[in-house]
Amino acid sequence: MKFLIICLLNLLFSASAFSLSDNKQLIKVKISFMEALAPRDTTSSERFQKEYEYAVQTGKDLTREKLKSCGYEITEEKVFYDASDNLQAFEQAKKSEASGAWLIVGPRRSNHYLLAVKGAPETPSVSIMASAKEVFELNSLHLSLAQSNQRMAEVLAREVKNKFKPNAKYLSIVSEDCVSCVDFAESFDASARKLKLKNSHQLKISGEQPNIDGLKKLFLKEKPDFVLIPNYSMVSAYLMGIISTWNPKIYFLGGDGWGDAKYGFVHDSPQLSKVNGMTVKGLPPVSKGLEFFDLGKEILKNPSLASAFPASGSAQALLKAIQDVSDIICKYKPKDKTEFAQNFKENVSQYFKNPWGVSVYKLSEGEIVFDKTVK
Amino acid sequence: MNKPQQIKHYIFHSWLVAGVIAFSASVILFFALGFFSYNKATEIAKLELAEKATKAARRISAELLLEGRGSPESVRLQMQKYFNIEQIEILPINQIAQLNSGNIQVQVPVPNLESKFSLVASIKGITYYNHFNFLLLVSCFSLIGLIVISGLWMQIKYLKRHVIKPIESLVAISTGEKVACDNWPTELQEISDKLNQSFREREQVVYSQVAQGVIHDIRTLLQSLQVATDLASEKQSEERFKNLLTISKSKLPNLLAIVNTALDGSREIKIKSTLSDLIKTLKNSIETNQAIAISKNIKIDFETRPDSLFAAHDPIQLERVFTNILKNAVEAVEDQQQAEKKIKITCESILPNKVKVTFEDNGHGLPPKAESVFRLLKSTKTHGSGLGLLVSRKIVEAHFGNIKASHSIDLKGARFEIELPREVQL
Repeated sequence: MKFLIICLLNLLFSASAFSLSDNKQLIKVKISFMEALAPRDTTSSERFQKEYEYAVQTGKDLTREKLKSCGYEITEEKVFYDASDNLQAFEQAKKSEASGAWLIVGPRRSNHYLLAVKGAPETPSVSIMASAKEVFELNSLHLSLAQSNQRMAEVLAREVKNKFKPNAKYLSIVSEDCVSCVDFAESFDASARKLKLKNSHQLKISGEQPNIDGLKKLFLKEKPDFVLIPNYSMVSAYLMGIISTWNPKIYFLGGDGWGDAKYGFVHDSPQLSKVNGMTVKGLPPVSKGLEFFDLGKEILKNPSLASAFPASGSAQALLKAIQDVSDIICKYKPKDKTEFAQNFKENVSQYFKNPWGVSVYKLSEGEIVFDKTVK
Repeated sequence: MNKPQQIKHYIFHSWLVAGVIAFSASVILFFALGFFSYNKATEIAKLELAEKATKAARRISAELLLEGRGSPESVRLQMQKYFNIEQIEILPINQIAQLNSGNIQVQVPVPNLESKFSLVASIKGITYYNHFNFLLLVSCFSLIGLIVISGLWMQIKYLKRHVIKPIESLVAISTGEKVACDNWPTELQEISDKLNQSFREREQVVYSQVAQGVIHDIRTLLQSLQVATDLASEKQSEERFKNLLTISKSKLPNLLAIVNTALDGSREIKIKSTLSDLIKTLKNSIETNQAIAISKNIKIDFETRPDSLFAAHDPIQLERVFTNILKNAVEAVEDQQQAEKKIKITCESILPNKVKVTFEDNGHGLPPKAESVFRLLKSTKTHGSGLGLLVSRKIVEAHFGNIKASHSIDLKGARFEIELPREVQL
């Protein structure tokens, strides 16, 4: 009889324990990491994809315990697509929204990000690098961790003003098929006008290897002090290779499409090893952005983790995004996506702030070298 | 047209027909392949264009989705240049693009815009004539030529194996050779069997008829001999006995001649040629028959231009020929009811190296196919083995001459012409 009572009690405790663990089942937070890959563009190379995936995994690992204690678990969906087919940003985002993703960490390119927002307007999204002004005009469900073109152009104009005499002249060559580049050039012109820098000509180009022979005559006549080329790295490198043969001492200015020292310029022009210039980026400088946010600091505490973590600004920005989404979840404990979207919208001003300001880089004899941060 | 010419003609026409067929087939194949190649190339170009147009439509769709920010026009021009498309147009979805003649054109919907627009891409069409090149033509001709030549070669091989060789074999069979005919066509095998059967039967008939003729002649002579010897064994006067002995003796050469003729008919005749007077040989044979001709009231008219005509010949053998023909003529004439029974013999030199001897009579003549008298068993007489003229011809041919039988126009009877070379090559 005594044995029977013990068995019954045992059974009762087991059942209640099972029931308790069932109640504590973690809520899955699905995040869709979406990025365009361009095999011909080094910044979107296979290496970039590996670093991207490493950063996501590290962010997940570092936030797992905290989220678990709050009753959540991140499940990620990684979507990589061909950068030349930008409509996929729209289609993939649509799919992610339909599949119940709580958050979309969207593509870096402004156009792609704006298309993703069109595809998933009800899902909160964060771009780690989009800098077009339209991105900053979106509703509070959608934002970018990068600085805006306007802000970057302003910093660049100020920096270049200090380098050249008053009324310095410049030419700009802009890829018209890169809307963000056009946007940056317009912003720079506006800032330059205020600082009395003179734009003598703007040439719109298209494609990766445009013909600029017609510009040579004007270039030699106008004798500009610097040339603004706020395009992607491949096009910029190609143009620099040609223009530096017209004047080897010409100074080049770029936007955040140039990439950074890690990737450099891929072009076989020998002139590229001699070019000089300046560019700005809305992301943290290579290996120097981790100290500005908590998850980064945690990595820095562990030397082996710090040395393994990718140095690129994109990886650091991804980590910051994962940190902020974890913070929102743990603070507001949303039951579902709808509640999360609501919490995101109402409190976004406290999260996803760029802690790095604008990074200024120098192009010194073909190498892009971090110079300083301007907040 | 003789036979070799006919064959040449036939072969020429065969090749001509084959050539015309090859040419026609080549031309048809050339155009068919060219048309196929053109269609295929057009199809591929269309598929490639559709693929490019789909990509371009997606890019333009993205730009349209971006509304104020995007630049669809710039992307349209960029896509034209990037994909090497001559013209890209954006039309409302329900508008069908006008097809420019000579252009390849595709129309695809611009995606993700709730089917508001379609994209029309066109490129220059593929030139039709580019697909009919010289190399293709040469290839077609070569191929067809090869096929035709192979076909003709196979046909010749087939003819040789299944037609010519069996016919040669049939000829061989006719001379008594044993030939295997395992792989022949059924029809030829049947013909071969029938021929074998026919030859066996003919051999049997020839054997029995020759034997019958020879035996009949020998029996006739033997009966005469028997009568003579029977009479001689009885009491007879000496003169009568001598007479019977002479008769008996005179029959013996005839008996020997019959046996020799029978033997000559079946074996090769050997002649001993000497340069002798042919007129003399002819006269000898006339003398042999002269007595009987006179007794039958038959006139032998012998005309000779020169008095002597020397030619290389075997006088004994040729005398046999002349005697046989003359004897036949006498027998043919003797029963005739004409007032004048006549045999005409001429001998003349017709060429510097050739002589001709002619026998004509006004007897009952020869059968319609006169030449058949030289065939075995074709005797025109009621008795006789039918070997005489056969042997005569063999003797003349052994002298490298020839003998012809025909109907005499002058005397309305038989006519025999014998031509002989004056110098016999032995």
